[in-house]
Amino acid sequence: MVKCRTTDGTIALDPNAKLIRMKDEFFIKSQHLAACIIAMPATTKNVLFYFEGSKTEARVVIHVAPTNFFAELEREDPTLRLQSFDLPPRTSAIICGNRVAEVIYSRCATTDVELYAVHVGGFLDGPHILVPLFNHVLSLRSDDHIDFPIVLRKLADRLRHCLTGRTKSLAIQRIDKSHRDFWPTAQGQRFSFLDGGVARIPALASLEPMALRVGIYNVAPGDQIMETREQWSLTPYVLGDIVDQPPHGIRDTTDRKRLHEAARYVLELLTALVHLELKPDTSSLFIHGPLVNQFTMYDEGEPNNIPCMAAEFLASMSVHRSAVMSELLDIPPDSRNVSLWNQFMSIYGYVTNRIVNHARPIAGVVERPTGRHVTTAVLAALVEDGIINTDESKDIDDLLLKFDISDDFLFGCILRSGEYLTPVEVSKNAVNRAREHWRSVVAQYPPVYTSLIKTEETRFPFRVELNATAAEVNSAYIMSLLYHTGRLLPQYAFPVGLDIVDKYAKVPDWLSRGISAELSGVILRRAVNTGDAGLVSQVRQLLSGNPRDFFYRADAN
Amino acid sequence: MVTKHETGFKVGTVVGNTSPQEFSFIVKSFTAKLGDLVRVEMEIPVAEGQGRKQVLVWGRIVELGRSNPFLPMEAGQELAEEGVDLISTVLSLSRDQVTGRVLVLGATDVGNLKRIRPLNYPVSPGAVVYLPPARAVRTILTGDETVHRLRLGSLIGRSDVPVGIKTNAIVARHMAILAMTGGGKTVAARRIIRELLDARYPLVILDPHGDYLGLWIKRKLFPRNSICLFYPNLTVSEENLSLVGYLVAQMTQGFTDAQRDKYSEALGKINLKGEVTVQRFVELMMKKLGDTKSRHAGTIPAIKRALRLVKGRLEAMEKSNERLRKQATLQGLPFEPMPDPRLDPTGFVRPGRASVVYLGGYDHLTQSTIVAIVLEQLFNHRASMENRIPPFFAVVEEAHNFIPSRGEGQAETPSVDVIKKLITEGRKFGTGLLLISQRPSRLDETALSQCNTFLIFRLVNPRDQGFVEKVMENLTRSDSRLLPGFGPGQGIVSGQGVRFPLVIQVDFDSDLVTAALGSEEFLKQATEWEDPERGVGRGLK
Ligand SMILES: Nc1ncnc2c1ncn2[C@@H]1O[C@H](COP(=O)(O)OP(=O)(O)OP(=O)(O)O)[C@@H](O)[C@H]1O
Ligand SMILES: [Mg+2]
Repeated sequence: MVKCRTTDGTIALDPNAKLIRMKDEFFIKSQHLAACIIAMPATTKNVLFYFEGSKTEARVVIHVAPTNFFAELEREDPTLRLQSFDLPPRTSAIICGNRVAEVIYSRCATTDVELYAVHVGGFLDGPHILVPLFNHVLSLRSDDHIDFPIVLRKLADRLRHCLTGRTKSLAIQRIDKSHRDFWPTAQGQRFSFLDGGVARIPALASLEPMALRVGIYNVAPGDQIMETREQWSLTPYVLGDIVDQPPHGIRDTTDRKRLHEAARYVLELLTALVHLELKPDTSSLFIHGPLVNQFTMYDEGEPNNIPCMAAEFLASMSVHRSAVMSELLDIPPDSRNVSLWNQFMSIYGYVTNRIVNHARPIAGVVERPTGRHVTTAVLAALVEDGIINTDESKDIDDLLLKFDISDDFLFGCILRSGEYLTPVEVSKNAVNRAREHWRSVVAQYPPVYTSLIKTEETRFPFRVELNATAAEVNSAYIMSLLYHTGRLLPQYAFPVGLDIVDKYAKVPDWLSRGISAELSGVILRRAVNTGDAGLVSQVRQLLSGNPRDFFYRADAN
Repeated sequence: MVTKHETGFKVGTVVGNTSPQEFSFIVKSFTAKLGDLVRVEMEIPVAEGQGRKQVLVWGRIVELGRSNPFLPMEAGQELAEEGVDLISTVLSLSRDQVTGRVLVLGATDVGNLKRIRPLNYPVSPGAVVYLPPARAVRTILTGDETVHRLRLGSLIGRSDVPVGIKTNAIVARHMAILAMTGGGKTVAARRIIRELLDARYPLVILDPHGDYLGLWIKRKLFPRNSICLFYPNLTVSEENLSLVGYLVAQMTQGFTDAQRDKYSEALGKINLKGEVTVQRFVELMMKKLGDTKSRHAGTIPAIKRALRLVKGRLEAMEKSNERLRKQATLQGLPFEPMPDPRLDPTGFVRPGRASVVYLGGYDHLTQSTIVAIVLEQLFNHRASMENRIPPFFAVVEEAHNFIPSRGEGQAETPSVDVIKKLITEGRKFGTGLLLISQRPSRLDETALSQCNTFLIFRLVNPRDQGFVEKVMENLTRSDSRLLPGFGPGQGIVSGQGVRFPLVIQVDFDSDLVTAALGSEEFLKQATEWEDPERGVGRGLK
């Protein structure tokens, strides 16, 4: 791959450039490069070629050096002894892996940050990236170990190139960091941050957790009165309460781990909806986690055996059969021909649609965006916009697959601190992954607008999923808010409001430790297996927020 | 049904690892303070697997820490750089978490707070911590309420809980008040004195600075007492013929062997009936020496020189004491020469009497000699069991001058032996001591450690803190960490006078304050000073 600046100052990229060996000489074959060189003024004295790569992969950055480039270098640091390296070159000189090469590179890199993609080096060398990078590289075929970083750089170069000013619909956007300018715009608004936590009892590690709680931190920046500025809520849910009675309830064969995931996804979104209902002055809501998950594996069939939700519980959250039935068409019936309107798959479809179509901006934030949802969507959009053709897209796709490159690494290299991608529509639920009778419902699972944003040069970007309002009405503002709240937690590079609610919703260790393991074991099993209301309420007391609320909440009794 | 009135307020929840000696708890915001007494209800096992029973565990908050786990430090930095307030952002400011550490004092039955026993089972995590109501605290603090106590003050931050010390514990087993200057020692001593006066307990106050002369001025407040102000009056009698010899040894280079022989010879010729002043005694000695022959011409004159020197010094100090007594602020106070403690002990000690011996103007050695004579004689009267005088309580201000440590010149301090005697045998004979000092580390360690009750105010010198920690068995590290932070009159009382160490605010008896005494209005004095050249100066303006 060849990368250079053209005479008009834009960066040209030739992904099809090749290094060709003829006899003992090497040639770069690149139409772009040829065009560039022809266009260069005759006065051009020195051209620097910066090569990097492996046996099979190469990348060259071409840089026209100012006329006095070497004279300046010599003057600043005579100890370099440039003459002995044949610099300035009579025809050409090869400088390889020594101090002179380093000095020249760092000098060029600082004068043209974009051309050299300096940020990529910073990112890949970052202490928080190195370990995941190593792990990833070691998971690849050994032949590919060496190639991985250079392939990553080349892909990042290509995509960054495509995403810089080529099309309006899809581009890298920049946020200027200024707390001084940003926070005044937040005064008078009210933001909610939501996260779910499991109530886990260490003594019962073998059992999947049977209760969870959803915490919300609601804050009005600038409000001087603490009681109104910050409002906190922690809602506990006991699994036994939210699922239906037999025959649609929990079975021995139920996959408990999956049941728990399904419950968590549904309950977080349901709590969000109820919260927005109760707090009409909330400007926007942020969820720790995706807005829409892959949800095709939570059906009632073997081996998942995920039950239905209790209609009574749903009603308490303002979810009614009629509303679900009118939101989702073609909800399948069970074997006895009873509608599965309250099975998790249906409820999830209903809830996600309400979230995505909600009148207020809602965003989900995912810490470490593994997977390739965004990259795939970006490639599709680039093809659609005519920036790349299907062959190129296929080519890139193959590389992504071969090197198992996920959004976190790729966009970690593409984006610089303060940059994000225009939100693109992503559908996570492939209809063909769902069981036949659920396909029509899964087809109605909404896509979400998805972006990646980087707040720290040397940290992974995080993924942001926006509902329609957030994406269409004020994505720039939402992203700026996330960026500036992320900047408040620089070490972690994650929005501080979500970090706060994450801590808030976690069950503190001491609480779990204080409970007698034997007792809670008995109660839990009975509560869940017999559905005995009295016992369930005991479990709730045992696991609910009271003790924690008591000491965290200034106004508690 | 227990009402809120009886249980008190919830102030937090026990968390983390606990033991029978201490536990930590999360404090509900703005409810509990350092030093507070708190209560936890829990079960303990009963003997030999007989089941369990409910008890109340009592403890004292000895540490408080505050943090906000939701407010990352880096956020503050990031915003500070741009001058943005935390409150304008989404950061959480309200969730301070206050953690307290509690030292367990013991446990009582639920229904009976009078008997407190050591706790023998760890405090249960998750238990609720209460701030008990005043009445319960009082019972816990005092236990047996029938014992006579003298009121010192109240718990810090809980003026509704009075703190008293057992009178018997201090009058028989001594007490020490230690603090840096200005800490509130004298105020506290006056408080104790007042309570003892009300009980008509005999008092002997050895007062180098005149801090207690005001008691006479305020005598109307003590109608059942007689308050006497004495100035020193050193006398020689058959019992203490060696006094002048001792003073010579201390005030001069001492006698040579030859001189001592001659001095003893002259002393042998003296025949005293009753007591004479030191001056008179010296004159008598001079006369006897005049009659004495010596082989060396220089011996007798040298002895006479030494005697004259001692006489001259004593006279000078008497003068200086007299001048002090005549100064404007003390004018009109009915000072009397102090009675002979051997012949006239009831002049010092009788029910209802407070004898203040004003030592101002005398040097260290002489003050110490006077204190030694007074205490020695009074002690002998008690020890002889003749019942001439009742038990008494002696107040020693600037105690480091009278019972210094080995390194601080015990040998040159005649009062050391007698004070040690009073301390070790006081219990037998009813001769109690109140030692007051601003330099604890300069006090004799063994003597101090035999004090059974301590009242410690502000101390900032680490050596003094370390010393106090060493001497007081039940003072913990966290207690001594409080010492530098105390304000005037705030301190820790511990020892036999109280059931547990308590952090208290000593009452300030404003009615005992005398305008004239102990005033430090030097600015006023200086500005009104008469300028020798220009009449009355206007000075600072
Ligand atoms: N219990 C108290 N309540 C209020 N103020 C007090 C209390 N005790 C002392 N003070 C204040 O501190 C001042 C100094 O107190 P005090 O004379 O008792 O100190 P001290 O320790 O005897 O000092 P020194 O070592 O100089 O004799 C008092 O004049 C008074 O203003
Ligand atoms: Mg004093």
